[in-house]
Amino acid sequence: MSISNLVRKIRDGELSAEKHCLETIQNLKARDSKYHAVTRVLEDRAITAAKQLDQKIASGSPVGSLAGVPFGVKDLFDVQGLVTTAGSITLNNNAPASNDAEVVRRLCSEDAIPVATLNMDEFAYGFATENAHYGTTCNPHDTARLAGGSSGGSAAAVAAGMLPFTLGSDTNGSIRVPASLCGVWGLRPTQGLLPLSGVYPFAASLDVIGPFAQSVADIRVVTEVMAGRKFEYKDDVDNLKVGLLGGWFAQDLSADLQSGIQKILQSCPITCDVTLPEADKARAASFVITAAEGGNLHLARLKTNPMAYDPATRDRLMAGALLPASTVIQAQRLRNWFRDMLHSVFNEVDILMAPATVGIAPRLDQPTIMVGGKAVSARANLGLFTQPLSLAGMPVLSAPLPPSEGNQKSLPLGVQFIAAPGKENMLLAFAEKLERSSLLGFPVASE
Amino acid sequence: MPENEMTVKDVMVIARQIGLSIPEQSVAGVLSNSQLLRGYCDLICSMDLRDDCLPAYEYRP
Repeated sequence: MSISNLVRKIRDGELSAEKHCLETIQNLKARDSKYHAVTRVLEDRAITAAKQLDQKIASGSPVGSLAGVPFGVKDLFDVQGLVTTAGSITLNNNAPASNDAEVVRRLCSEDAIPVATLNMDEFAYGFATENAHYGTTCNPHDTARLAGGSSGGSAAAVAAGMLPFTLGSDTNGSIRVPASLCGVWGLRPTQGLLPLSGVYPFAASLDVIGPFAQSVADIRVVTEVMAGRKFEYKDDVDNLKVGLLGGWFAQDLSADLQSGIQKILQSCPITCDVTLPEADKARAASFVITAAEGGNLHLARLKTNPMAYDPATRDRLMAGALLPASTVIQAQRLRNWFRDMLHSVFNEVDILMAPATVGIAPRLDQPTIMVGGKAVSARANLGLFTQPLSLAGMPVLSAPLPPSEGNQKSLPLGVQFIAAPGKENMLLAFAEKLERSSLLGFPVASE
Repeated sequence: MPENEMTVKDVMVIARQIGLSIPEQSVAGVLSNSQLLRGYCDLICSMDLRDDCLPAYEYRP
């Protein structure tokens, strides 16, 4: 059920918010043992909020635009009264959050109801959601495969149909990669559009938060509430010029992915090929900035309590802390160069398209992907196509391709659509057109 | 080993400069991650940037 339909039913009294909330929680408890997407169920808070909403509706008081919609948040969003773990045990002695994260507060002010916190790679450092403390999140479309990360719990909860929307964070691709592998929509908005107050940082100069959902309309309504403004687009989306990113973004693509991309291009009247120079260096800069900022953030704890970290996270953060300043500054200079170059591209095109990942979700027992003919670590390399784009801070929508023809059991694949800064309105309008044409969209996983 | 490949000794020297003690069980992992990052650093530093290309400290997309 779409968010707008759910809200209508609750507002009209066809469905009690409390009943729906209870069913959602029961469903989470019953099904999540297969996926390990959920870390904490916020049962008392959710039921209390749902009862209050039902009373408001019964009394004829106005209710918000997300009335009664349950949602979940990645474990790095502050939830009042809970310790924010960021997927780790090293913060367990921190005081509980005194307030909700600002975006959670905005959603609740429109009567959405937080029901769960969701699994992630420790401190968001990974593309796999393999967490030594809280378990590995499985892909709902094939539980023998990774959900992707680092916001894997958020993507999996939507893909399984357990929640209508969730929140994640994206530093190098942590929304776009799991969205692609789980067959859901995920938006990395323009950097700075959504407030990060009450969100545990990873690499502060790259961090962005955003939603996961089952449709563009759902992504739109949730993002509008979080941003506090509408994304209206009044021009004709048929006249948009779409550029397909080649070069770096054309390597090692699966046949189904290439086919899906070509179908989309064929539906667009005005297209061109675009090659971004130095994309490999942009990815390297993103990698280095992330490692250095993450390493610095954790350095004090790495000195006093290193063994509390997941061993893989600890090794990566320590290596990041050792990076020389000169290379980090060079990475930040390259970032400005890359941003300026990308701005000039948007003088010629409206939307850029690129794959989100090279192929389907890797298997849990073989967490590798093929890049340049070599098997490389999925945890470190699933962001091959997302990392360079993070560097520029532009809005990027990860969109699921439909199941391949004649194979309804095919696994999800995703593409990225990129627009100029602040052009979420154009990006969403364009994606809605493709979704209506059935060129985008993947069904919820069957149980 | 390539000439500019980082060694355990290199890692330990830099770690000491920032007061970081690397647990024995992490030495191999930190070295391997440092070598990976060194490759990315070399790639970044191979790019010539104009003197007026400033760092993106207050980044705005």
